[in-house]
Amino acid sequence: MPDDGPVSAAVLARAAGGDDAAWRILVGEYSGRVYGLLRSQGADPELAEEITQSVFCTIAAKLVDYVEGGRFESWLFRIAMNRLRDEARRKRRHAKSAGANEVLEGLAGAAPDPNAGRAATEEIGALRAAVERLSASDREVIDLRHIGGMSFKEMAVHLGEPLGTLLARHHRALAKLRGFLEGTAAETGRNPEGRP
Amino acid sequence: MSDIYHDSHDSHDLHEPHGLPADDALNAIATRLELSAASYAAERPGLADRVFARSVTELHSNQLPATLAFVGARTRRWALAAAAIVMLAGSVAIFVFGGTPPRAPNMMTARAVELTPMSGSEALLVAFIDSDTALGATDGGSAFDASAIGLTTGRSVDDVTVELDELLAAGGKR
Repeated sequence: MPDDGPVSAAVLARAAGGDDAAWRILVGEYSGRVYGLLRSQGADPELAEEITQSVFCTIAAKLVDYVEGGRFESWLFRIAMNRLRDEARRKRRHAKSAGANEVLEGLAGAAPDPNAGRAATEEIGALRAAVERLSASDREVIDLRHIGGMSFKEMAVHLGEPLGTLLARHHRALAKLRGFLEGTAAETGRNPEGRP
Repeated sequence: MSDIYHDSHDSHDLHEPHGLPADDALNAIATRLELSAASYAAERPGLADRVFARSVTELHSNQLPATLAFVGARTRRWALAAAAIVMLAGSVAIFVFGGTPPRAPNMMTARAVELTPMSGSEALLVAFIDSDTALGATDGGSAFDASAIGLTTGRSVDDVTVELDELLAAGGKR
């Protein structure tokens, strides 16, 4: 990532050396993206923030040993996704006694912001509903790219796939999403791009 | 509207890679996805500040001493690997060239060989004259020591003590 990431290798090196300002840049750049990725993967706002904080604590503890190889984003998002999976597993175990519905409610995203414009909220709600209909692998590609803000190169590293394969997967996932949105639009009389 | 294949992070242009078309409809969906991401970010005002406040202590508490930090993570990793290799090589060398200490012969077998040509008091003396246990017993050692000799030889403690005294007085000869 030294040349192509949003945070330069120099900033990473300074953060690893304990520089508060560099660490703040890093947190500022990535915390929202990690949080968004967790939310899009089904975590509720409180859980997503808790995991985000925990992920950055882990990164802060291990950054001193991080060897720059252009894989920082991949490392960061992998930790976040693993934490979320751990949490989901923990909740599933808990669900056996608590009841599955409570767990699903706990992991489900919050309702769209009531203060936001009604049309925008509906639009985003429809989009999120469509994303949820994608397969887990398609959804991961979409979320990493558009919510996590990862570059295709980083995603290729993260997912261990050739760049071309990844681009094709991404294209197919978007096409599926369009299909879902068109289906919804046909029912509601909206344009699939979100314009009435 | 964003272009789904325009990747500002990538150094090369990913526009229409591998013949994939740049589709306005897909680009529009990509734009909406990014709006969705922005709406997630707006859910938690001050998130970055809270994350920073909680994690910065971790950052400081895990700092290495200046000398080690100066070396750099990659060098430290190499040094650690080199040290591990040296230790492993050393262990292998000791195992291969140093050999293991000679194994002690089975005590019962060794004693049997020593005792076979002898009999009676001589055997008793050979068996125990160099033993703290036997000397302790002949010098009025503990009852446990004398009992142990008695049990080992099948004789009474008194007999053993008297016999050893006599043998010692005679310089080990009858």
